[in-house]
Amino acid sequence: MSKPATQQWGSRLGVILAVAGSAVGLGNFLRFPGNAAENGGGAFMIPYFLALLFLGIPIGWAEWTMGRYGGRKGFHGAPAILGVWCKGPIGRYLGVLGVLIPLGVYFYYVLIESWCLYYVVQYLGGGIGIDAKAPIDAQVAATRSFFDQVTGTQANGSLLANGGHPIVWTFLITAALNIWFVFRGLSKGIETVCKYAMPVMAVLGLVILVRVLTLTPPEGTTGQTVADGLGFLWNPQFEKLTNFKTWLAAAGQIFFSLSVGFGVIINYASYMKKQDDVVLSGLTASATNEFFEVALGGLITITASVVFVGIALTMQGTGGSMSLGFKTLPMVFAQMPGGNFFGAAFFLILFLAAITSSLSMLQPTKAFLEESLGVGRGASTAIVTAWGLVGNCFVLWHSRNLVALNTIDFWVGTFFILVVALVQIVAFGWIFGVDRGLEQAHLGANMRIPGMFRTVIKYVAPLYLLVVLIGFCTNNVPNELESLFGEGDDAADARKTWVLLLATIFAIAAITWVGAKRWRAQGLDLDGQHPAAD
Amino acid sequence: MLASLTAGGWTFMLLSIGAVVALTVWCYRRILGKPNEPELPGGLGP
Repeated sequence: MSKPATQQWGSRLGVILAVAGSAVGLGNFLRFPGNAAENGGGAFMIPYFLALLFLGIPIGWAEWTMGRYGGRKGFHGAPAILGVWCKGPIGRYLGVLGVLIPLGVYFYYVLIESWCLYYVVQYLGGGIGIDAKAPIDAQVAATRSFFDQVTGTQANGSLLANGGHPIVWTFLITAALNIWFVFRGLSKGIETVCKYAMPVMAVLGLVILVRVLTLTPPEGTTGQTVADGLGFLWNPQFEKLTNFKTWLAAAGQIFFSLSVGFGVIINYASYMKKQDDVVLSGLTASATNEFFEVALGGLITITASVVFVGIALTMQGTGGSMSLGFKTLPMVFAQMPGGNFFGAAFFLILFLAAITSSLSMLQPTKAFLEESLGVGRGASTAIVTAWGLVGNCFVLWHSRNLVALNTIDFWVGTFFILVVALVQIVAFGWIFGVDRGLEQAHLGANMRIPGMFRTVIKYVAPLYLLVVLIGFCTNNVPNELESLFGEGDDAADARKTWVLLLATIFAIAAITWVGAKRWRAQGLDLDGQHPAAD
Repeated sequence: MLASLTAGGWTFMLLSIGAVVALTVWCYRRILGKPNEPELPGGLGP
């Protein structure tokens, strides 16, 4: 069986930091603390850690193993690798979602990334124009107005009107950085960025953490100490554990935070050698993500917010990542001594977290194009650049109420991830076989997967995931469908977004079909009928 | 919820953060304790 020459990671630590960089994103600093505060505080950590143990870590191990095994057969994209693990075309075409997810999320994620960079630039230039001495209502209005202008929520095309908002330039710089690093390849591009960005994020995070934990509340305020902020987030409310939504939120937080089912780990792991460890590496990448999420995200954002703007305003911000990060925290920085420095540092952390994630989103599509169409690195980069820019420009133009962004985030960045993860764990535990799968995982492993995970991978994780998927659909899909098929401008924008998504799905499926013909002609084992060659 | 950090809050915070920090340190100590395998010629896996 012939194998095409392929890229490789420069070091073991490099691939771990690249996977961790992909996982650590805005959700670690913004979504986690809001989720925890809303869903039982400290008690939220019980379902959270159970989900980590029974869902995140085992599915992660499965995905690392599937990727490395697929790579040994000469494949690097989710369609081909899932075709191998599912032993046929059904898995291959379900794997189309494993290319759609990173590409589709890239369509909007780069824009959010460029917002972060824009905020960094603004803070370095003197702040975003919030008067800390103005009444709080005026500060709220100023912060939201700034955010609305940056994101163009007033009307479609507003970011490009009147010569264009400066955010367009920030977006172009951000997109160019992404393309450049991805073009540089795995080792010189993605790995190098993550090797520097991850430690920088950790150091900046610790500096901000020290500052936050030594904050004193503004004079004349009560109930706004650091202890109050920590209490708001960490005091356990055990009664919330009887609510199914708390368990769903915990599982969702773990799941989306670790980037499992995203189509990235499977691609990254496919560049590893047979004797490269995937068990300890997978656990280390998960642990790194948890460090940023719990140890930094769990102490910084909510605490700082409570100290300066109080619990009531903080609660308004916990409804979503955007709200806490872009609408509440700027008011905090406006009042904090040295606020412009800390604002710039905080949004730089978000930018680094975002770019290490967005880099990982282009690579799976690039690898998929190379192996399916037989094109080289330059051509695949050109195609993925054009494809990404079409999506970016669509979301940039359809900015009204962020409908396009939210539509892609809901279906591609949330719903389809659950579907892909379910396909992966069923393929690993049932189609390929859990014992064979674990045997593959243990090749070159620096630690053994504890025996209980055989049962977890075969029964617990698929059932757990199925419950999460059903719960998620029951709670969210009816409303989403109602807004999709409703009347009005927002519904029209959501339908246009779906046209883009369907076109993307169709194109990936067509390329998969072309690829399958090529792989068969090359004698590659695309239906997983034979063990991987040693 | 509006109370300052309670004993329960301290317990959950310290246990949670302690657990993730301990896991992270344990993982990196094991990872960094193992030298990298020498690269195969030609950049190809097995």
